[in-house]
Amino acid sequence: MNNIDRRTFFKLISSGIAGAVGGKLVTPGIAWAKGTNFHSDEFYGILVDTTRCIGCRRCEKACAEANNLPVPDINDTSVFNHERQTSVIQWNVVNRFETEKGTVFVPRRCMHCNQAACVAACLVKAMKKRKTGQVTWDENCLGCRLCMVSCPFDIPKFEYDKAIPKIQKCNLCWGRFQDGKPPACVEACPMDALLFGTRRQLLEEARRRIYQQPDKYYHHIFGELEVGGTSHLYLSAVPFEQIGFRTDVGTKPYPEYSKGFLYAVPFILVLWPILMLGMSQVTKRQQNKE
Amino acid sequence: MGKKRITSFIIFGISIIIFGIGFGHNLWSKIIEPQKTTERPIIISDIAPLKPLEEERVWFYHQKHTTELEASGCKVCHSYDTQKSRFDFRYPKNRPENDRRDLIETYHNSCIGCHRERLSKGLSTGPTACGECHKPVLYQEWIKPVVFHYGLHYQHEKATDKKCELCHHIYDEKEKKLIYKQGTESSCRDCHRQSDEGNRNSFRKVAHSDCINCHLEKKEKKQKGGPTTCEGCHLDLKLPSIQEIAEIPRPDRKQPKTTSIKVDGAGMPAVFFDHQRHEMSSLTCRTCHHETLQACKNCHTSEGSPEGGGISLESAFHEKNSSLSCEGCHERQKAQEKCSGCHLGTRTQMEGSQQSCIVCHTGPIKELPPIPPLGAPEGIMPDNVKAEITINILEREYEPAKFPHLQIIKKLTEISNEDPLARQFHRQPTTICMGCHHHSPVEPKSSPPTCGNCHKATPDFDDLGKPRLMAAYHLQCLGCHQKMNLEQNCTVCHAKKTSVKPLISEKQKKSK
Repeated sequence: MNNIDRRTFFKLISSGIAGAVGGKLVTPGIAWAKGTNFHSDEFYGILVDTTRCIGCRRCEKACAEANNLPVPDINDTSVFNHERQTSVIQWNVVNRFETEKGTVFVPRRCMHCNQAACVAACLVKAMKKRKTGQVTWDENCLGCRLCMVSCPFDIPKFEYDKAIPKIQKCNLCWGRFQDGKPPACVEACPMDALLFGTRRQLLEEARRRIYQQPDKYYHHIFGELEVGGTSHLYLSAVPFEQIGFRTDVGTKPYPEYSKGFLYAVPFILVLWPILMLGMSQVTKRQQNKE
Repeated sequence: MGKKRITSFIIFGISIIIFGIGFGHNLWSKIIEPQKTTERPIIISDIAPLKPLEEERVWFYHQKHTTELEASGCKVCHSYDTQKSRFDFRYPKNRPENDRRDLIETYHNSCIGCHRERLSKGLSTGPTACGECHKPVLYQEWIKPVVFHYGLHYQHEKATDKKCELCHHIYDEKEKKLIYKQGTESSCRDCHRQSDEGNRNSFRKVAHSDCINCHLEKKEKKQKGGPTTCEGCHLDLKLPSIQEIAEIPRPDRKQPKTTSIKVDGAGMPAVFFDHQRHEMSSLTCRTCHHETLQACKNCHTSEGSPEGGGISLESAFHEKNSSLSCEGCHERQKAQEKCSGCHLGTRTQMEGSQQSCIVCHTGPIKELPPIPPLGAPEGIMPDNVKAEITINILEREYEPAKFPHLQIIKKLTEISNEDPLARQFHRQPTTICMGCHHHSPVEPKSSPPTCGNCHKATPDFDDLGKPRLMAAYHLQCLGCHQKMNLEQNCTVCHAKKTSVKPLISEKQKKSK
């Protein structure tokens, strides 16, 4: 409590008064349906257990309904015939893979990287990494599409056919999150193949599952270390290459690749003229001497 | 003009030839493509232990030779001992074992000699140039290990009028010869191991020479005998089921029908062991007895000894990860389709209660008391078991699901009563309930908690391992249906509703 500043103090006091006046206590941060205490400054994410997914596509439907996208016909199983990518009208797609351990369904969407390449690439901070882990897109976008180029998972999609195009991608139901609700896909999943929680909790749960059923799972959590960690974590029964994941992305966060160069730019911008000026001065004096 | 035309013709011709050669070469090599063959050759690399090979190993097609030379018999290649009237199946005849040069020479003379001879006589023949034999080929493995199960053993018993001495023998150290002694019959592998040891030949050698010689003898006498070709034995044999095995008379070696396993100084009561019953549910003696047919405690001492591979007697009986131990084998039975629904389901650690120890550790008794089959489920609970349960958590989208509670209990009880092993361990009628009502013991006095008592409709963010009610239903029902290979279509439980409301209501929609 020592590091409370003047501003926070007044905030707390006023909210307390407001709560008292309203007749009920106003809880700061996120209020969950069950009243669970969550730290609002921790990364949240989704654990996808592909061994549980039955390919019912309810997550696709819920996603479309929650985000005002065209609602797909989920009884149509012909979509599984080829591997689909996320698109401007589908932020979340379920794909089917035939593997050594039988048919596996895999829901794919934005991974919400801990250090997102798209956020680092964005010129105008339209792509934002929220304090709670979500990577969201804002309307102040330039339309430069650098986020699309930078994404290691090929997720952000650009509305080429619109007059005022947007970037379309999963935002981990940022709107619903602010209302204190889990993402729509998680709520719709009948098998709990999608679990919402803090990334720390989800990692624990994923490790617990691998430890308890070592024969069932491939001993790796995709997203734990990939590109520096992601908020979407995947569990699988088979190696991840077999279910359409890129396993060559490395464990280094993508912004790290350009960080050194970008930090050098301001220095060079400032130091280069000074250096040049100094050199010109030196040479000028020598010329004068001659 | 004429010259130009000729030149263009020549260029065209050359290109056709080049293209033709390229194409033709491909075509040709495809016809003799070794991948096409499905026959597995015998790989000859006898010289390898003497010195690293200079040439590629020879891939020898035994099958081709036997069919081609069937009229002449095995004597063409293998030496025949007229006194013992037995074949020595080593190749070539009179092979010098230790001299590399000589061995190579003998091989070449035998193979190429025969090929040349046949060539001069105008008969079908094999290669005579080096690279034709010394070349690598790709093949498909088709040779399967022979499982000499009780059925095959009985077949041989019948065919030989129970003359055990024809196959079984022991080595007499004093007389220095093989003798037969009744009651000492063991597995061949007991003495004949993976490789030659002194004067004992490897199992592979003796199995081929003894079996084939006997079969050939019968064939010569025009009697009904066993196969003499590779694929005769090394086929993908259909193994008999437990029911079929149970009807076959057991090999009699004066083994006890039942026994009491007692360990001196052990804290637990003795185990009543029905040897006969266990014989019935295994394919060979080696299913439990490794290579030897000795009692477990002869090698596995209570502290563990080098003879027993350092495995103590306690782990030899209880090690769950071994296929040879009691518990390990029982554990594997749970993976059967009919058992997996409960045993590999939500609660993977179903055992471990102290009551399961006394199922085996009965104390010194002469005979197992008969276990009554599990009774009808209706009488278990005071206010009767619910016949049907209606689940309507998804009623916004589907008609309520009708769960045939009583019917499922009856079916599971039936499965349990049919299986002798399950019958031993499922003593209480309520044991069946625990397949679904996990984590809380079911007692006959009161109804067990319902699914909704623990699994709430909203996710429990403090305990992410516990599924929500909707997921709990699906994981439990569908999990069992998947493992027991039952109907998995959504419509089996969820009848379609005519008007479906959206999953996310209008109010919840985010204004975009």
